[in-house]
Amino acid sequence: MIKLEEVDKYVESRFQRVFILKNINLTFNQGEFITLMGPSGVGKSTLLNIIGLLDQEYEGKYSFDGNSIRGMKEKQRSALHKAEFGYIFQAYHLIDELTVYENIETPLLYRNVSSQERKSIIAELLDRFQMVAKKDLFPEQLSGGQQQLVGVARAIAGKPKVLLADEPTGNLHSVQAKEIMEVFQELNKEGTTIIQATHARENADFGTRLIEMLDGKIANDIRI
Amino acid sequence: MLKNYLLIAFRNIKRNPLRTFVHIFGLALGVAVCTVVFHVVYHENSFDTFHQDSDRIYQVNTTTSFLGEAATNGGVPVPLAQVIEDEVSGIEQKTFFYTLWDVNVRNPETDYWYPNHTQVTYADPALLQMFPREWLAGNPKTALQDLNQVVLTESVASKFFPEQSPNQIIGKFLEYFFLDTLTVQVAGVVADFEEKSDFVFTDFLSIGNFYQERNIDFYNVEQWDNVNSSSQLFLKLSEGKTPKDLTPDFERLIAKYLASEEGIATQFSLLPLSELHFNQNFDRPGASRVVLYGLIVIGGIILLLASLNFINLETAQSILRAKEVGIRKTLGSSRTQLIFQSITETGLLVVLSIGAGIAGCEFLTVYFHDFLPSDMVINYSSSESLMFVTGLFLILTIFSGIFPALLLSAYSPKKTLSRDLKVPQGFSFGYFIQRNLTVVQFAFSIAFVVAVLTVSSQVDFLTNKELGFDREQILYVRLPYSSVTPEGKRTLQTAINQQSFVQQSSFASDMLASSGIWTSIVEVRALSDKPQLSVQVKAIDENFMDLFGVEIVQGQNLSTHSKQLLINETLYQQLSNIQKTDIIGGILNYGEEEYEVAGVVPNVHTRTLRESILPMIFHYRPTNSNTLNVKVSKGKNLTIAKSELDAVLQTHFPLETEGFRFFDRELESFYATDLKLTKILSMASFMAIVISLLGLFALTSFTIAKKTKEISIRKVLGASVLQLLVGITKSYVILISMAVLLGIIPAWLLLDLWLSEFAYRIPMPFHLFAIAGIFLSLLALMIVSIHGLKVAHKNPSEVLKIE
Repeated sequence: MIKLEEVDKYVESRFQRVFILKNINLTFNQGEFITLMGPSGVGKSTLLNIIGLLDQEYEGKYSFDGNSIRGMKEKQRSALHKAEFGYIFQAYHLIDELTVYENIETPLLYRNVSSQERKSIIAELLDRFQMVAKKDLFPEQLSGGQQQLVGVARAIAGKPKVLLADEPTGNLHSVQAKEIMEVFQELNKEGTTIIQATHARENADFGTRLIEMLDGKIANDIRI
Repeated sequence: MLKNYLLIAFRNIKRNPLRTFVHIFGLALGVAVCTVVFHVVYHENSFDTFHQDSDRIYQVNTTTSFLGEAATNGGVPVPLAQVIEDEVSGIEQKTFFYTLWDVNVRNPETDYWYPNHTQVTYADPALLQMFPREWLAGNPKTALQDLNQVVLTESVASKFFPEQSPNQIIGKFLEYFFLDTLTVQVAGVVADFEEKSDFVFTDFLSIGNFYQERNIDFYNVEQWDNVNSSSQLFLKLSEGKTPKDLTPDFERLIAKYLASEEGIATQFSLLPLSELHFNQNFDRPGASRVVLYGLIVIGGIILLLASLNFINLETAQSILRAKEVGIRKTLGSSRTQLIFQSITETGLLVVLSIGAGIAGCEFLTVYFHDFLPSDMVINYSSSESLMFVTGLFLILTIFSGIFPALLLSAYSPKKTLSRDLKVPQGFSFGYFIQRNLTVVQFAFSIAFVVAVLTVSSQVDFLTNKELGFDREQILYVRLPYSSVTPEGKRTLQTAINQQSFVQQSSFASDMLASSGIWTSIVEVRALSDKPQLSVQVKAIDENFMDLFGVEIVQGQNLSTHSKQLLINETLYQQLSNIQKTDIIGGILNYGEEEYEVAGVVPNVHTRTLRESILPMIFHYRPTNSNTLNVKVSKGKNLTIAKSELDAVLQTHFPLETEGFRFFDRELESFYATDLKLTKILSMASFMAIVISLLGLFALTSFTIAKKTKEISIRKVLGASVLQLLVGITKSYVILISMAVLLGIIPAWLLLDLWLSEFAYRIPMPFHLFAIAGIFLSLLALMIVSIHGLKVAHKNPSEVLKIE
């Protein structure tokens, strides 16, 4: 489904090119649960941004379902972005001014989902994550684990094929982290492709494939 | 979606009260000023727009040029009205009327007098056809066709004949007393105009009476070379004709009827009805386009400043919203949607500001009371009001909102969502705009302040300048020409002189100084070629100079019963340049008569100080002089003196409702417009300063807070509070100095232009410029320091712990 060929990303500094990613060749299939692992600064987030179409400044080929991303127009790219990807962040990144309910609703608004349908999707998600009672609270009134659950709910509200998670458990303690990972596993079983970046080894155990990165390169690619 | 945007906007408004207050207060000020200005402009432009075919109606004006000086008069020579339709083609209809002033009316049935009934005119029937009114009684076809008829408007009809229906009034008699005395019969009653109109006439007398034999000389009915602004001619042009089409015919007409004299030229021009309100008409001063434009400019500047404030602050704060933008973008929002969201938020703030601004209008109308047309009423729910508000909303929202929206929506999610968001290095457009907008705002503030200080010190100078005569304890009254006989004047003067507090009284054509001017020509008889000199004229009596405390510097004062005149030093100088013989005792021809120069008076300022002193003659002619000047003794309260003199006046002229006036008030009124200018500029500069300081306050509270970490580190490294403060304010000092320069230079040029209108003026007050600059700089620095001190006093251990 996702194919990266010879992807390079670098910044020009005064005297030399500093590579953040170098010669990345990867193929991800539908239904996989991939864990990108490595110390911080190794290029995991950068790779996720490229896959998630948030970063266009790289060299090499990237195709999604056989269509080259470079060949797409801005409009097509943005449609693909909306339809296929969901994002989860380490710092949750909920909109502070919106309630739990409204945060989950936002991506649906950008997808022109009818009001009736929105209500039922959100009700279902709140129910699934046991947050019905918290739907009118603001992010700052929730614990970190709860905020991240809202983040997950928001990410999957639009029913994306691919879920991208950048250090989803980085700000959580172990019990909360495990909870989130279990949710991921469940989603994966339902058919969602998940790509997560992490430096916690235990998170990889929930996935189907572990890719270890070092200095912008793929060091290891193991199926679990 | 819109609901979501509004929700966020509303929560943001609540969350950041300082930002909300600054935005709404600033914009509301701008909105209030603009709303008042709009209504003034609309009001002044809505006169006489409702008449049928009003775009084809024109007033005929007469321009007379004499020795290179042209003067335009709203009236025409009377005979023009009779020949115009034969001589000029392209006219569908014409109406001629002759306005009258100081008319006293008597209802013979009740023997009730209505003195000073001002809005009376002789009118032909066409006047009521070109400017049609609803007829409540009488026959529009026959009314005013015969002699001795009058058509009344409903309002005066009910005044003259209370509690009688219009039909009952028809055929009743009224007596009109002015130069003529007419007994007329009511031939019709018409409704008053409900819309705004300069055609304020309430009594229309048959024009036939105007043309009667006995009036021919009096009204100059047959004279082409006499133009009185009372004699009014209006034309309705045929469809498709423009004033230009009539020019050749007018030229032919002038050549045919007006004797050509050297140095004198007459021209007729057509003034569109829509312009009538902006020209002096029917004895009311015209509305001033210049004042309107001035108001528009000031309103625009205040609104612009408020808008700049908004842009400035939003740009500075955009970094706070960057995270939200990043999230929204990853959630699938397009840039257009983000721009729309940001503009929606601006729109909401603008709506609130407009609400607050309109509430503020009421305060402004009180403050601006003497600028606003007295008959203006603001109707906030009228269609033009609503259209204006809608337009203002759209313009403000888009102008203020678009730049922050573009900036905000450009943030890339990749950057905003990574752990720390830094101010970009190198050139940043947002930062650049921010600093410059602050400079622009302060420049405007400085310019306004400098203007206020300069204008008010010039006005001060004008009102305090030594004019060369005594202005204290003087009262005057202008008696109507129509009702005064020489005996009447004499007995009045005697009665006034008998008052114990009256020191001196004098009949003259005018006061020593007034806004009126009378110019003429004298011939020097001593020289063979009889050179002509253009002079200003006042007719006086022997007490005049003494009353105003002016001493004769050469020769003697006028003696009674003499053909003598006094000249001022300017004329003396002119004469001594051409005349070798003695000037005192020499003869000047003035009018048809010869006058002996009795003495010379010093140059006194008889006009506003805008004008330099003209050569002048004061000739002895108390008989035709109807202004009575009275000098009251020192200890006497002038207001009490006025009421006592009014009582004396009342016994001699019972129909005279205008009493004595204060001479020094007349002098003050010379500079009424300048005082108004001071007032309006004060208001504008106050608002500009408030808006700029508020903006600076909010902006620095934000930008300095961002530097908290840097300042804490410096403090840890050993910087003192003073050093920190210097560091923080340094860049602001540069900005403000730029603003001072940017503001002062254009203000200086404009003020120089304004001052040059005055013959007597202060030197450009650069010291005031400096004071204004320093004052505003200090104010600005104070505001920066408030925030700076707060940050500098923070405990660095707390700040750095969080980081």
